Amino acid sequence: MTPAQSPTLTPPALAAMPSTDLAALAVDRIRQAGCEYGEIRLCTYRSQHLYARDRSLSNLSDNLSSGFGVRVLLDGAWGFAASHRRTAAEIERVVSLAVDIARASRLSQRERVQLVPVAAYQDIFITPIEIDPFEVPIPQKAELLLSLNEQLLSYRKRGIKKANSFLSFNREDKLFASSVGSVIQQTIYRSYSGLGCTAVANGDSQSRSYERPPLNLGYEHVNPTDLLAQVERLAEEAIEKVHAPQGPQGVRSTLILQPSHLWLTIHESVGHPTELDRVYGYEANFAGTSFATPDHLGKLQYAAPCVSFQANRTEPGSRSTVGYDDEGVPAQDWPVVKDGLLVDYLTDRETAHRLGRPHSNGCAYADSWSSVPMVRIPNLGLEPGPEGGSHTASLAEMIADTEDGILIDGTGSFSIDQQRRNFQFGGDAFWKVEKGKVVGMLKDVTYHAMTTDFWRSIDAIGPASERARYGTPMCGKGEPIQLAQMSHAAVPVRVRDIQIGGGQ
Amino acid sequence: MVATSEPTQTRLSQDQALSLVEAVIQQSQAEGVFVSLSGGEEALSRFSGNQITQNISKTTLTLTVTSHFGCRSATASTTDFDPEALQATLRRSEELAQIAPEDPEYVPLLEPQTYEPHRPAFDEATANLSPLARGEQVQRVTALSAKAGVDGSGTLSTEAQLRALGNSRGLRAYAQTTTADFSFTARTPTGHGSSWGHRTAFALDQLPLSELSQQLIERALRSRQPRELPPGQYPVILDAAAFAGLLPWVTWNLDARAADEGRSFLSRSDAQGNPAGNRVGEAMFSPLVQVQRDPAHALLQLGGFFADGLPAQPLTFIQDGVPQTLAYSRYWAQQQGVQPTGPLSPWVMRGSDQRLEDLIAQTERAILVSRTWYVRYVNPRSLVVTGMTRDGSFWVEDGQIAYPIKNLRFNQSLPELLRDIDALSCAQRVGNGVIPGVRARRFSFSSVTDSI
Repeated sequence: MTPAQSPTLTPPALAAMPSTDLAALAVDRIRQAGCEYGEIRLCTYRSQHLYARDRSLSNLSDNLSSGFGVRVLLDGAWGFAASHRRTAAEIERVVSLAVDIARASRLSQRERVQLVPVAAYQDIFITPIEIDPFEVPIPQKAELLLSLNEQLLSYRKRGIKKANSFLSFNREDKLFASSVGSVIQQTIYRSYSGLGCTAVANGDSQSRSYERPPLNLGYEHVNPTDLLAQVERLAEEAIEKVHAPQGPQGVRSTLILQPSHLWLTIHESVGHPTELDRVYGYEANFAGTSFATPDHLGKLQYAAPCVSFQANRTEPGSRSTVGYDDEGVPAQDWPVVKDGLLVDYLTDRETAHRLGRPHSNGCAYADSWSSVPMVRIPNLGLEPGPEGGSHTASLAEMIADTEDGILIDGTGSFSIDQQRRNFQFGGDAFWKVEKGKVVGMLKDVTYHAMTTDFWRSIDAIGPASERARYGTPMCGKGEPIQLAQMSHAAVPVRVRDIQIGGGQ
Repeated sequence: MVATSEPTQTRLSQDQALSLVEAVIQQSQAEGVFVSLSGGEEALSRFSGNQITQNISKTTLTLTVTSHFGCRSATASTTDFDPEALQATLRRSEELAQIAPEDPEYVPLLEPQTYEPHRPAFDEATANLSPLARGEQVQRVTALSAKAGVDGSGTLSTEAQLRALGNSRGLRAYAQTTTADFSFTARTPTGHGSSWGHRTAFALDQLPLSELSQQLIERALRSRQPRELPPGQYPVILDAAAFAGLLPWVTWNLDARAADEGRSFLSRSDAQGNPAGNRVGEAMFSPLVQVQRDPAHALLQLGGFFADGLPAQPLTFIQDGVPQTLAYSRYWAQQQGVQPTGPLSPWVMRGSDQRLEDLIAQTERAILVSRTWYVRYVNPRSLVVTGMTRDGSFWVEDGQIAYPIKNLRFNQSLPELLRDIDALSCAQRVGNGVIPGVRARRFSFSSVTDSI
């Protein structure tokens, strides 16, 4: 466990209301109601989005969402209520409603919910950034997107018919206070940008895209020079792709997977199966359960011995990095798969107690003031191969060492069964590898495998110098559905003997 | 400052909502302004292991303002209804719009529209359901599953939502609706059997909670010890809830612009493979396939306008297997010289008067699918998708369910699925759509899983 270091920055102003007073009122009322635990999150989310389609800036929006959510545990049963009205009277009403809801939960209660302990913290955490994205003038942002699209559309005669680009920025101000005694103020900044284009020819259409992945950084992450530098490559590759032969069907092949692709395979086949609420069936009606049940802990050979996955919420810049989770648990880092073996889970305070752990590893997250915290995948990365390791190889070395295979970049189709065994993935771009060389593009490639078969079939893993962070700002789970955000760092890998094609 | 008082009650009447919209419009300094108000109350009880694991209620209200200056526009929104916050939101949208680039695809604000006279359904009992009453409903369901020795999971939710909108050209619209939704998963103790069902209605008392739960418990028990069928092409019967995981992928892809630009399964190509219009009028699907937009459908009774104020008039998109029209945005309709249609939502697919059991009884051999899961594009141009079956798949033989089978991955062309439909069951509401179960002559399964 490594508590996050809180930068010593000046706390930002939250909304004009006395949020700390409202929080104190809520905690006081929670205690008065006799709850064994309770918490309030007062939040303001600002989101700015720009999306350009062809020569049209079709979306320019700047939105504020503020309100609060109260969660109480009464006689081992949960209640949660939320409102957009941040007044003392509304705090009183919502706490009372949350208590009533907890009483209603008790009707069907068979086992009391119990939580592992957490210490009380009074702290401030602010995402370190260099340039506040909300301070950068809108015309500068709009001009960047329209310029990207204009350059992509300059390939129109050669087949590029559609261009798109986007910028997305978020700032989340959260004040968390709990009956444990914590008062935690956090400000999270997020930036995300990208571009793409579509070639139309031969009765087909094929796209190519590039992103500066979703990270908790400021405008410095946008890097217009890098975005503009991708235009020619993307356009040329989209044109080549629409004219490329179809990928093979019904064969087994070697895959070389770039971090820009592999992050999603990690997310679906390692991240979700190790969410402990899924393991215990909390998601049985929707997102599903998991094959990785606790009887496998410390025993299941999840992956090849050269493969380890490390969870953390402390790495600066990663999308799930915070000071504290939404239950007031300090951010940590820990191994989930070590040397190929399943060694831990992703927990909140409730599921950690069920597993018999002394503390939560801090994976609780709520996507809004109006949402209830639940276990979400943190930043979860594939550890690079050690320098000089017997399976460590650079991307170039993997290609040079491959007689016949397929190199995949970016994400495309993705699907996995509800217990996370059977998956099928596509990609954004595919190249055939023959006799140690990349010989040309393919299109419409998918691969299919069972989770543990796939991860056990890795025979080469990239070094730390090739580590890259990707991830998602929209991982869906829960009812009502919530969208979580996390990074998945990865290195290139080579995987042997994988089924190619879905048979259609 | 916006001259209105902050709404203090949870639900706004039509007059209150439109007065707020009007007040914001009056304070606008833009050449044109569009204002919308949306939100309401939502409550949801979630259960697993035959007990409630999450139980929530939320009150939300969002005001969204889009300001226009010539061909420039921008949007800002807020959930804070303090007068200063509303004023700040209005000014923010104006400031952004003034510095936005001119939009070559700009369309002017809508003039006042005529909407269908139907009134959306609003059930007071559903809107006012107490946490205790909801908890009692869940308790009855979990008692059933506990008594049967199965693990019951699911959700029961109720919500009351409003949408009000207006613009500086005089457009005004308002709708208030209620929704009740129930989904239930029954799993056998060993984890080898499972079933799932989902129903939606505008009133809680229209949901068959106990009846559906009992059916699903029995189906879960019947799904134990599944046998493995080899992947391949099989006739298939898709329960309405399973088909509801597939049909929306077709309705989302009825966009006229994508078809006309060569990016859709509805694109027509010339001899050189270049885009040459769309496939409206072509007999692409089974004559049994009829899909229309119908917010006034007896099972839906939803509001009659879209988020931009365009009327959601009843419109047939696919009749007797032939696409009749596509979804035209206001911009693309202007380019093509046709009337804008808006999207195909809410969609209603015509069913028959047969039950799903009748379809099974008339079937020599087929795979019966209860639920489709994690459906994603394999090829968006040809509309091939992949996904999994889950929560109870069965082999049907000689008019009967013969035995449960292990779940399968499919890779399936959806236009070909619609082409191969040869029987329908009666339609039911799932989410905000109305859909029948279907039988199709062939469906492509590509691999097997041990997951239930």
